[in-house]
Amino acid sequence: MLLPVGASAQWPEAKPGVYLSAFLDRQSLGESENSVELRPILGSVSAGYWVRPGIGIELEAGVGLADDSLGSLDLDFESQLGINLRLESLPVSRFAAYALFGYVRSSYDVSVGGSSSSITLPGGRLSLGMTYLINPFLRIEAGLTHHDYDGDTRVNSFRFGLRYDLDS
Amino acid sequence: MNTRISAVFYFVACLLTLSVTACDSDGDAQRLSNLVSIADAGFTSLVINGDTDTIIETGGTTQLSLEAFSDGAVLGTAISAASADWSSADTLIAEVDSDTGAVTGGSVDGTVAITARFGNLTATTRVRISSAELTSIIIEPADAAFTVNECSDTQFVALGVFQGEAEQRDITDSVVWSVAQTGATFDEIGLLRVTSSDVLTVSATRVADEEKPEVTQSEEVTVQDGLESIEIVADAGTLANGSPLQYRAVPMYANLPDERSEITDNVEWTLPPGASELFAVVDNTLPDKGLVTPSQAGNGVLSAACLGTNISESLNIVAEGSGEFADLVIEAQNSAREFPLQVIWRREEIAEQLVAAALFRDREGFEDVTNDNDTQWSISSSSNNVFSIGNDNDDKGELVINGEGTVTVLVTFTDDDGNFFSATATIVSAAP
Repeated sequence: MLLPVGASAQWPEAKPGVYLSAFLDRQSLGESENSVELRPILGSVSAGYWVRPGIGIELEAGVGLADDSLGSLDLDFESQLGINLRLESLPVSRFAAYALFGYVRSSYDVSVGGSSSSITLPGGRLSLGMTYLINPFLRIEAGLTHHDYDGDTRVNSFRFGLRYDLDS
Repeated sequence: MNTRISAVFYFVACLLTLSVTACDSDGDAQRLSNLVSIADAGFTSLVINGDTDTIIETGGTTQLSLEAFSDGAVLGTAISAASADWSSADTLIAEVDSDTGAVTGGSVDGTVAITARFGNLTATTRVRISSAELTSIIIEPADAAFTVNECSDTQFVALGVFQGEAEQRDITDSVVWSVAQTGATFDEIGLLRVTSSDVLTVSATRVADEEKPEVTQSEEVTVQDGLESIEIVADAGTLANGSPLQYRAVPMYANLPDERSEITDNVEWTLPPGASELFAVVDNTLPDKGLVTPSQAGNGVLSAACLGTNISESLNIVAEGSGEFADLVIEAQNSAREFPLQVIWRREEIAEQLVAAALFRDREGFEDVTNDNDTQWSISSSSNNVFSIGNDNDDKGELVINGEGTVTVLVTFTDDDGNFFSATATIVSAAP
């Protein structure tokens, strides 16, 4: 899926060098057997390095921008740290597909009936999405992420942001 | 330059990975999902084992249960014990599996507090561990009567009497239940399913092991011979290809007109072999007794019988299909005559014309399909060989009788959509 197919690439593929990203993540957080969801929003930045064309390693850090509540439960998204392996295809007609295999640690502050506690969720995640090249340096990026945590917690998210390739 | 940057990234990545994997947050994910459930349902309190204290033998085990309640609610909602965190105040007296809520008695007698934490809710119960010897067992029917009805089920309870203790303990789940006669069976938790018998001898036994002797108790149970009839009723819904339907058996007792508790699990369910192979099967095993699953459109006779008695009931059931055909019945030429059809044998050959009547979805009333090419007539069973039925173009459905006896005739019809229907009818030939 991530290999170039069909038409020849109009833009150069990702090549060794540093890239920076800034994006928003809207999470859908709930219990696996219950359709009720909390939807906090996270703002993140990441820095990555293309170790080979189409293969990058990136570190990211984010903070909560918008909290959510359900009944007496208030969920504050505190922060998120992560590391990802990025696989990205050659762009075709300015579009490229990408996959992120990552490991993240998300921290929440949960308040119920006046008493609050911190919850940390470490786990793997998989993102699939598309990028669109605005110019050789700048791309718009959007994708869906599934987080894999222990227990019955279900977390998916939609990510939208910009990426800047310093060495393109 | 690039090599240096790459090395920095690898170093930081490794540090982050180590810090992430080293972080022990087991249970946080479960706690968060519990909090979401609690907030969604509005739970405000938690109760363990119905808020009753528990007593177990030294070394014995018991599974604790959880219920959550909203403010003012009388009925609670069962919560999976595995969703909660469990802890024991004294592990010498009893240990509790922190993930499952299973309590195991320790080596010391005493009472210990067991606490469950579910999200932000907590509950505590008391569990007493006792090494007192079981000296005898008391068997009690749940309804305090040692009389049961044919084809019914009755819950029995075993109470343990322990040395030096005034309080009896419910040991229903830990004894072995048995019944001496063949007219009944026990399940593992003391539910007696009776078919038919005059008197039953039921026993509850605490099986011996290396440390404990066997303790057993038996009681006689009288089976009331009062089942008059069975009514078959279907759950709401439609029996159609791909849509199973649950049928239930409801008893009518001569001496207990108000006792209408269903006996679905205690009767024998059958569909005639010919029909069941062709359009549907009925489940005759627990816990799905009486569940009819059609594989195509068709009809057949569903029966529920109380084994050991001659009480049974039959019901013609029809599985709908996508075709135009809906039902098939056998009638006498004079449709006012009822089945089983009575024929008077006067020592001369008799020809009795039978009629196959089909109901089509898009037309009103039954139509005669006796001579249709898709209609097949045959003898299903007969008491002797004095009967024959025509299946050729000029004698389809003509039953020839040459003596006294009973015959069951089978007619089948397949419509253009492949829907198969069958019907049977019984004819009795007797001298005047």
